[in-house]
Amino acid sequence: MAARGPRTFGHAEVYAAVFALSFAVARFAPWLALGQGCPFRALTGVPCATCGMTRAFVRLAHGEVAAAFGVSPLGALLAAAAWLFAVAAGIRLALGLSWPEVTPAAARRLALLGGVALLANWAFLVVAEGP
Amino acid sequence: MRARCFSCQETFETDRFGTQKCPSCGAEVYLPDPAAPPPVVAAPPPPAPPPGWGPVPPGAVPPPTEQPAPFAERAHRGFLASYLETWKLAALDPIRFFRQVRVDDTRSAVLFGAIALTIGNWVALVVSYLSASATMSFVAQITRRMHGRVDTLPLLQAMGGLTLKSLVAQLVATPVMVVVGLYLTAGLFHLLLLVVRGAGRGFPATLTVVGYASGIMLLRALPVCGGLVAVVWFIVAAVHGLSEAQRCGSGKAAFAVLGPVALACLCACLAGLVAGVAGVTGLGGLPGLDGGTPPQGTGI
Repeated sequence: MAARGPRTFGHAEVYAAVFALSFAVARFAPWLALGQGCPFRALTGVPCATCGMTRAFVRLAHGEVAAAFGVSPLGALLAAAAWLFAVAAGIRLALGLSWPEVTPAAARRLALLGGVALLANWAFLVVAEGP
Repeated sequence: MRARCFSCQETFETDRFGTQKCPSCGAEVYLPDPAAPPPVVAAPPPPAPPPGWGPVPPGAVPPPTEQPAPFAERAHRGFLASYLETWKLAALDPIRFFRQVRVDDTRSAVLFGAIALTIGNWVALVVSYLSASATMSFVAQITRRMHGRVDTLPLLQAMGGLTLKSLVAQLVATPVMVVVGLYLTAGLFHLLLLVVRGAGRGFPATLTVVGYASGIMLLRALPVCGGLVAVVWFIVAAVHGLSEAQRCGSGKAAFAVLGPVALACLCACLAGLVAGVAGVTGLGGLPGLDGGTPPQGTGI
């Protein structure tokens, strides 16, 4: 993410708005009451790689940190990171600061780390909730 | 040899070929050498590239410079005309379009995709609602013919409540959700491009491709098969688009677009294998098929 002039509303701020919206939905919308299930899990009995993400977001938005990490550690970390990013973007806009530079190499390492984390989280879910 | 002047028609003797003067009138006379190789005719230059996004004539070299999409110039081209022209280019000629389109005006791309997705979703929602209404009417007829022997009231109540409430809610939320979806899709594609070092031109190029390629989602408005056609067409256009806009090659672009789908299929195969092995060895089976207890939690 390149450093840009202060008080600009770019792609990073759009993502911050999306993340803030995800907090509002997780906190105030009766999402879990809809009873939507994972079709992959219903078919195979094995959780998919992203199972528990919604519940982790909802639990964390209600302050239930342990429960959030229990249903999906990666989901809880993702929710926390996303909402911290939204707060950081708000602070940056308010104070007119610049984003730190992220080189393509660092971004690639982060993306690879995300893939590894997704696989590790899936392994955790299979072991914890699998058949 | 004897030669004739084309000016005075007099003949004269000469011993060489080439340009020389007529001894009678002084006019220049050209005598071609029959043993000389035929004169080289310079190849005509290729046709000049057409201005704007017009069709390229056969043999013409496409303009190498980038240019804004027609929709980005909607202020003076007209909104509908520029939208239709951009749609045709992105859907029917994605290789050329995404090769040449400027990637710095992402707002136009997002607006373009958001309009198509919103209209497509709105029509699809209304069609679904009408289909549900027809189904409810059909079920009500069956109930009357069965003289109340089949209790379909809960089904009717559920369908009526779900369709009416969800229709209004989804119609209102669609414009916001499509923008969110565009950014999340572009983010996912870009992450996968980063993994394979295929994001040389940055996130704006990815977002531009996703935005303009999402115009194809307008086909969701077609009932029955519109959604499937739109998704397949979008995938093809997105692979071509990322390949050209990011200059990364079609392999990396296909990995970014098809990677999530392939990963899901791989996970499904692995999970099916695990479930099958578990069922065979008596450790458990598919929930609902062996009478076992379904797993806890909703899974979402």
